[in-house]
Amino acid sequence: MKNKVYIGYSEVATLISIMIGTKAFLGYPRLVTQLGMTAGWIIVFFSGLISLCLWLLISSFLACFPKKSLTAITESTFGSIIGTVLNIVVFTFSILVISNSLRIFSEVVIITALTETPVIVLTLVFILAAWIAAYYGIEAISRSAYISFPFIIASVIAVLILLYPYYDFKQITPIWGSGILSIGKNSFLGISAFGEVILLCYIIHYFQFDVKKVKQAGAFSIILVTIFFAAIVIVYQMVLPVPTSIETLVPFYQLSRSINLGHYFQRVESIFVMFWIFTAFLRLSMGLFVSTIIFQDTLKLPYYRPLLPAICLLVFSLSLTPADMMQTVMYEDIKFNYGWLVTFVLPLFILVVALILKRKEE
Amino acid sequence: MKCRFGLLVLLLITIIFTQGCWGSQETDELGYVILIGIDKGEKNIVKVSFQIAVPQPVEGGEQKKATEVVTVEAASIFGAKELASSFISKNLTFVHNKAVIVSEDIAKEGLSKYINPLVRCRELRRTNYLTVVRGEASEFLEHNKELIFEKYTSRYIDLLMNASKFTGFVPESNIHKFYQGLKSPGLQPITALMAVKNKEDDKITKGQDIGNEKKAEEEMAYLPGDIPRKGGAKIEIIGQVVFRDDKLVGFLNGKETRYYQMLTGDFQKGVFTIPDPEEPDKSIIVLEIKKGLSPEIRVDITEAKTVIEVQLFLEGEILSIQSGQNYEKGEREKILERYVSNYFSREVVALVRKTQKEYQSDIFGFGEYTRKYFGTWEEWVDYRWLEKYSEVDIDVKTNFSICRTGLMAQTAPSHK
Repeated sequence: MKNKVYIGYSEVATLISIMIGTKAFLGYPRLVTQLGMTAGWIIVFFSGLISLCLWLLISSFLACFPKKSLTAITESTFGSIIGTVLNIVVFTFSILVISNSLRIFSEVVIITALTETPVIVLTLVFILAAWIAAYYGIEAISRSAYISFPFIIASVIAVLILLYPYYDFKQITPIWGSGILSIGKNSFLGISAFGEVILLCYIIHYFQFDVKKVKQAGAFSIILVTIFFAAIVIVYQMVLPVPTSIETLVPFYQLSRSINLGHYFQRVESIFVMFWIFTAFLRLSMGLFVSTIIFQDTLKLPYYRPLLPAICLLVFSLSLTPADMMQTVMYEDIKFNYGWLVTFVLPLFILVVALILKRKEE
Repeated sequence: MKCRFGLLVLLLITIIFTQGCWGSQETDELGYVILIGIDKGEKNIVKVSFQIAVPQPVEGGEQKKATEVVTVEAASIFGAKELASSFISKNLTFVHNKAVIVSEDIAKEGLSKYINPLVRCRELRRTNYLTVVRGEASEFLEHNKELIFEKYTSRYIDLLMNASKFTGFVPESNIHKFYQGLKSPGLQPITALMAVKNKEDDKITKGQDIGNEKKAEEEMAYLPGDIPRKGGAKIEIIGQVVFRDDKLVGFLNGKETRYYQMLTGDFQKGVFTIPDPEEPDKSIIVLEIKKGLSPEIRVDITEAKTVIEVQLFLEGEILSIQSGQNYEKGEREKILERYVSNYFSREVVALVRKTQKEYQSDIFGFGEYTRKYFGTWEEWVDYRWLEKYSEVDIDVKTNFSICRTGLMAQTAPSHK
């Protein structure tokens, strides 16, 4: 039995934009700068473009299976054993990603705001909040995302504009940064950063609107986030030029700390930290919700809510497994390099096989 | 009902664990460091001085002093801060620190090992001023307590550093800018320069008679501590330090610092005294010069030679013409404009040559303009601009125009 949910295209688009865009507040600008040097923004642009093409392809294939989630398609295509194994792989991946995100967000809160708070307390608070949000379901999470979206966007734009005294476009040259080959390779690997868009395929049966709208919501999110990522990376490299930009642990926080407009407009990062923490909460809630739905669909259970305590405990425990913050940063880099295998290649493979079998049957 | 009760319990737990409790610190428990001074240590590696704000009572009169200076020797800045807690009742914090002042000796030895912790530290901001002091930083902080026009030293330093907008004597000098210069392959770092006025020099002695022309030209050519004056606070901020990599290699005086800023585009305005073109040894002309446009800089790289081409755009207002010649309009105005343009071009070229030959340090960031010739970052780094800098040619053209003439349209002849 499924709860009836009423969410619109805008809510879904903003939710996915926030899911993808949260990386901007973590290490993403540093990571692309490290890979592309002064051409980091080009990597962002091409990664966005490749992700958009892949998403349009995946969502077109998905349209051939109306109202069926990717979990259900996987099982009907590969049979119950292989299908379940594949779905468990996806579930495991999503749990690992969400656990690492939980730890990183907690560590970032320690670095930026609550320096003395033990990490276990922050992870606990985050996971409890995410549990409550996931309990109320996608409707509550997406509405929260929709309401907070203008504030989050305004806070990002404000930071980028207030840094105008640092603007120096020489700092994003030499234009090809780490070299064309490196840009090409890392642009492809970088599609992992947009992988959250695939979540739409796993919860498609929750939406009242058709697949065409889901496709548009995903495409809108990718385009919007690509523009924002590119703008953030460009400003980041102008404020903290290469090579200093590859040193910063939390680039966007460092950017907001650099705002210094006269005696009265400085030390403003505390205003923005509030929005970023709310963004983290939304991302964790949605991640938790989708992971639980994948697990529910895999095991064909009637309800997802009873699974939440166990999954929360699992995420909480896994988030505390890394020995230190740098280990979580390393896991995030691994996800950047190989995450696309699960987020784009696997769904594409499943849908291609499902389509071939469907054609044969017809 | 059960479910709602469960949620209520969850919410309560969340509220109880509201994280502020762990990091909370009462304002009166904290000791706000507003300036940090770093000297070479005698018993340990560094001698760190902290100028700490003294809390003012809400009622019952004012505290006699606004700040207190303590000096501790330790192996690191943070070690010194920790040691200071053994005799200061407050928990020292850098969150409101305004400037980091480093002694000349430390700067000569190399600043990078002292900058790294400042960049990494969460409490310190990269927007903190970073300056070098001639002599000891601890002595500077001690004298910095004796203020006249301000109560708080942080405000005093802030105003002096910002006064540069009206004089051009102090370059933009903060941790961020220094660090950028330290790491970039196309730029070398600089900092502002400070000093304590020497007590014995607290009187204006008669200088050498070098002629009016030279006196006018050298009017602002002072390093801090050397300005001929009486009265006022003990500290002076004028000029800048030139670094090669992380080591101090020389100073630029107040006059040179203005030309430096003209080249970097940071110069806003300043008063300049120049010899009268028609009677240079007798009379002077005083002008207030403003930035017209940002400078246009081109670095031409050819196989034969590399040339830096600079165009400066300045405008000015006449403040004084001692000779009474009418330079305000017509042909004489053009004469003055050409004279001033050539004068500035000559001075700027001399400054660039000094940094090339004497210091071998591209503090202007001309190397940044060579980026466009290279496709990749590696190619640019391999070009090794900083090694080539001392050999490149420099060509400076100044476009100066007189925009205003004060409240006088011309000088009428005297009939006595």
